[in-house]
Amino acid sequence: MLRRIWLTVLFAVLLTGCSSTPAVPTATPGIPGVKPVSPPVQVENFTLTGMNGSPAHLKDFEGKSVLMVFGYTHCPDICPVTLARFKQIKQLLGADADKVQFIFVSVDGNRDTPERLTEYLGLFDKDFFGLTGSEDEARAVITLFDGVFTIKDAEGLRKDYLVEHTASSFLMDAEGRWVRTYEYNTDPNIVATDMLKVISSPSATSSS
Amino acid sequence: MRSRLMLLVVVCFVGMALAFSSVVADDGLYVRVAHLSPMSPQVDVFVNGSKVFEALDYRAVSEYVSVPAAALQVVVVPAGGEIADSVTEVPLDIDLAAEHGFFTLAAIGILEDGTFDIILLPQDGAMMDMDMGMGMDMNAPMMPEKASITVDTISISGAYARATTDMPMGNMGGMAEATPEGGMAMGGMAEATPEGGMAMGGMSMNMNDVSAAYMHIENTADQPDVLLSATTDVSDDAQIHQTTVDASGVAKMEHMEGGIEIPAQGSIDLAPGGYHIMMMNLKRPLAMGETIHLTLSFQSGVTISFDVPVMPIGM
Repeated sequence: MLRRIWLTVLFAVLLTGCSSTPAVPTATPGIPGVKPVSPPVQVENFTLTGMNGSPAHLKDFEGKSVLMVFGYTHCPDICPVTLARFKQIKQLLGADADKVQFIFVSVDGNRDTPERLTEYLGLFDKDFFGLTGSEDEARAVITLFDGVFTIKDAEGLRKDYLVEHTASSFLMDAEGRWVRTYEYNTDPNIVATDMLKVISSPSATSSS
Repeated sequence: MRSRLMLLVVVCFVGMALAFSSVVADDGLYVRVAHLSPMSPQVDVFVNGSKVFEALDYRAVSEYVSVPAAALQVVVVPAGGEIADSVTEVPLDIDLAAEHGFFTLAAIGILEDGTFDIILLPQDGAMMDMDMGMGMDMNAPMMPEKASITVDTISISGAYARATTDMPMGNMGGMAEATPEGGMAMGGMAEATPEGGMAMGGMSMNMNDVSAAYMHIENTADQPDVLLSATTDVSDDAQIHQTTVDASGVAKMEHMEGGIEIPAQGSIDLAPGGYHIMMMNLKRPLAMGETIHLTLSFQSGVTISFDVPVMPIGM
């Protein structure tokens, strides 16, 4: 386990070292793309609809850390990238992946039925969980993370409308506290390494 | 190679853990096996005398394993068997006909009625199921077979489209052509997997109807050019878009109605999270290993029509 962490850290360091991505200027020192939530925020227990069509509550996942992202299945560019990265993160977590529930929350309940979510997430990983709900329900949840979304269908006429949405991912610890925000496209190695800290040492979350 | 009894398609490999304990080189040869032969047992697969894939079940797809040469002799045996237990009369000779790349062997047909065969699918676009746990960056351009083309002053490289299904469905069509009996085999699969979600052609698969194409475009002219429009055979609704993620983390998409300017002697990248050719309402699922036809029109009058490979959704 320790060895895995060290390996991961090593790779993260190596990858960061040779990454050609321009460094993101950050006001505060820290890991680029990783924003600790300090102090952690206890997320209220919300309810949406799960992939089986039944109500699903945040509390259902208590005991596991939750990595959550908002998106929609008709998303042509951003969401597939994020979910592919979730898949890589899960692989990087190795055995510790069992301690994490990956969740994709739809901001497009009109089109994203539980069935469609199941098909879509199955493209990436059968263990990813999808939640959907009405526009108001989704908005209430994304607001908990200071996120937003805008359905670009002012006239309500288009079938193939796009949705602008917060693309960051949010990590909650096993007690349901929001402890990290990972910016879109943060290197999966960095995210996985940081998540291992949260997963393996609960005390780190409160001290961060 | 078309010998009648090949065994299930399985190709799994052996020692994959071993093979992947080191960083995978772009220039290696990798093979995996897909067991798509219904009513066949769990199998082991020997490649060139070594057991490479073990205990592959029907519908299982193995990891990629590294192979030293393009000429493969494949023997499929019931799980736990030896080479002598081969389900086919003779070993199957398969020539990858390449010096590097990722390939999938598919076991198709049915043993009992003599339609069993192992076929080589078109070269894979990418490593799908490889254990990425060793810190490999999936963004690294690992697939040399992305499309490149030059017409007059425009050079395109690294072009690909994202798959919308996790099964090599286009290849399944190809299989049916390659072995007329394949169609029956697929019907058999449908029966075998009634729970299959999207029962496309009887296969259980996941899919989506939105995709995007990405590439690098270079303008060698002494004046700027503009990528004005894109059309494709798989969608009537292809648009040039730009994704931006603002400081607050919100992703927005903009339809580039005026196109994208390419500087004189300069280039632009169409890449995830930036410019891309968005394709909505796809007429068919895009499967890894297929190509789509793309036509790009530039202000300079250059028009480029070319085939673009479909890469896995997971990359």
